Amino acid sequence: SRPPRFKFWPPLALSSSPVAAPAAPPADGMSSGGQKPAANRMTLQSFKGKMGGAKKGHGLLKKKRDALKAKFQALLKDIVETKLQVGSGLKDASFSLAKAHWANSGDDITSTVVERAKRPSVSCKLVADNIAGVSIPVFKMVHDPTKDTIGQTMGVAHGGAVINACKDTYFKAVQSLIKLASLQTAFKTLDEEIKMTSRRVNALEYVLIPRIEEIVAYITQEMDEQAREEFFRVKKVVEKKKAKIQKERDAEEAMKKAAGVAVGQPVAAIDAPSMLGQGKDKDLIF
Amino acid sequence: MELSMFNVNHGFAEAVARGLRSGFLGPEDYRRLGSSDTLEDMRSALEETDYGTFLQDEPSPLLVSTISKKCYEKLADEFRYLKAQTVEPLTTFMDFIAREKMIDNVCMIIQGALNNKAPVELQEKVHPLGVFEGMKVIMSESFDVQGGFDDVYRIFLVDTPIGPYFEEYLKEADREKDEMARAGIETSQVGGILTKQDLEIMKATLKKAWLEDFHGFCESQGGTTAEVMGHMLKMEADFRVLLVTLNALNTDLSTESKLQDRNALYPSFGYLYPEGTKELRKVWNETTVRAALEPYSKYLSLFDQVKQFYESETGSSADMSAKGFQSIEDLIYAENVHMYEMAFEQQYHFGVFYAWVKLREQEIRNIRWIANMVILNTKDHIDDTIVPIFQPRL
Repeated sequence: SRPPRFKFWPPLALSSSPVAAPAAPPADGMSSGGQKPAANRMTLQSFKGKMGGAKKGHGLLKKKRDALKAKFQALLKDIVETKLQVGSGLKDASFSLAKAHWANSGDDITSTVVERAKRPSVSCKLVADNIAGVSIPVFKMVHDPTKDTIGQTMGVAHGGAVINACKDTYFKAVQSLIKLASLQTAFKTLDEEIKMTSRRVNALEYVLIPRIEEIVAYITQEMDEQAREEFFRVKKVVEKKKAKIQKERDAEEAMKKAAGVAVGQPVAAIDAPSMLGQGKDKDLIF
Repeated sequence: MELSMFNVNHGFAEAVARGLRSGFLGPEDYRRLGSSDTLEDMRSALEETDYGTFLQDEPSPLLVSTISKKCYEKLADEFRYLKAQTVEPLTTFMDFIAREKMIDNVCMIIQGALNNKAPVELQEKVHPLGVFEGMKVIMSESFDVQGGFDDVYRIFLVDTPIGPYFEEYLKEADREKDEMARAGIETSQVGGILTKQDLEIMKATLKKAWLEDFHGFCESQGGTTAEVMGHMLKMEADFRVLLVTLNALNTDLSTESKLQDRNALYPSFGYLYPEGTKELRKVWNETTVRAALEPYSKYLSLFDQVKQFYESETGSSADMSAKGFQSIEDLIYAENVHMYEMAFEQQYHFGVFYAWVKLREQEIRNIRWIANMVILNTKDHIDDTIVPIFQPRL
């Protein structure tokens, strides 16, 4: 017998018993391991339909995967650019911090800033964006200048303007950081999506479609066989019948022969009394 | 009189101070520091100067803040030694110098307390020059925020040298509190004031009070001290006015309602006082500042040099500092250094001590800037920012 075909989507909650006793064949023909669908026109149609669907799906998924890959490449370029930007932005910011230290009579302003910062004036908002059908998270910066109050009066007697300049530089750096964060999450999500789509494409191409094809081939084969069988059977039956009729006729004739009637004489077509055969006719009296 | 009597009491102290003057980093040292690639190189470069092996015990990954802190500690040690050699009135004079840093420390403690931080955590960030006895007591206690303020004030601040400045500040703030009380708002006495006001403004007000007190003390000394210190403190006051005005230009301290607050930070002495400050009280943007500074050519030229940094219309200030425009602080540092160097030219006055402390501070600032540049690998910016002290005159 054929080796059992492996299940396409193995059910997760498989019982640990290795004895996979196949249950009663499900109505749907797509079962595994030795259960064949009934080979009739209806199933053929249904499987042909499945095949068409699978092929179309395969084409669409392939297109989706290619689109995603293109987007991916573009994203990669963006990321590299933004990373460089972040690097230089942070460098500028550190420089401006050094300048702020210088201007603030050499003392350490970082502790003062940390102490005075109460509520964040820059926060991130998460929105979902749609790229080629994939929903990816995007970070948007929300800047609330009214909460920026600490910057107003800090260092009013010493280097306040420089401190503000430092704040602005860091603000720019934070902006590019947020952008980078968005890009990287998009990158990761797209990566996952591409992998999944690839998996699906391959599954369709190498497992599902061949399977269906095989089943369809099997059905057509079976049907052909059935047709041939049918034909052959009919032929045989007719033969047998003919033989039977012939036998019966032969038997009848044999019986007639045995009843002693001139068999050789050909029986006239019409059994009319012959003039010669019978006795004298009555005399005609005038 | 001075020529004969000064050295009796203060000769030794002045001699020590002048000896310390020769310990300043010279152009050679700055060059060597500037050519270091890491902070470790800086450490070894500093070992050959008067700073010696002060960084020896620090663990290997050096931080800029560590270097800075250690420099300040060395300065504080030398200051304390010097102060110990003095007699009145020089002792009070040196105390005045230290009070500026005490104000910084106390404000920091209050800020920390507002954020519910125990004072012991702030131990690290205390400025070494501004340590006084009461402070140790404050630091060791752990008090809760709001209720603690009254205690803090009543027990500690009143007795410390900076108590009177707080009193002055609170009196002014009290007026505001009265208005608020009339409006029906209840606030506990000191705690309310301290939390409602902006701590930065409080610090600036305290410093103004200190400056005025210091000036009064110097004037009372008479003679060369009054002359030299008077000049230096007047310049300091004027610079403070300029700083406050310029830094407030682009913030909301320049709006109509807040002008009052800003003007309260102007000291009531100096070359700009009283006509200049009268004009400056009304200014609110660059053109008005320029008009007010017309009669004072020196300050006018200073302002013109840095005008671009404060222009609010052309681009953000971030671009300004990135392009290397100088801010008023840079110019003021240069002016100050020149002034302090001059103080050493005359003898028999207290100005040398003040000048020495200030010059050491500038040196520490220079070192810190160099360290930052070394870390950021932008050593070409070193030379255009640091202020060399005691340049050899050709």
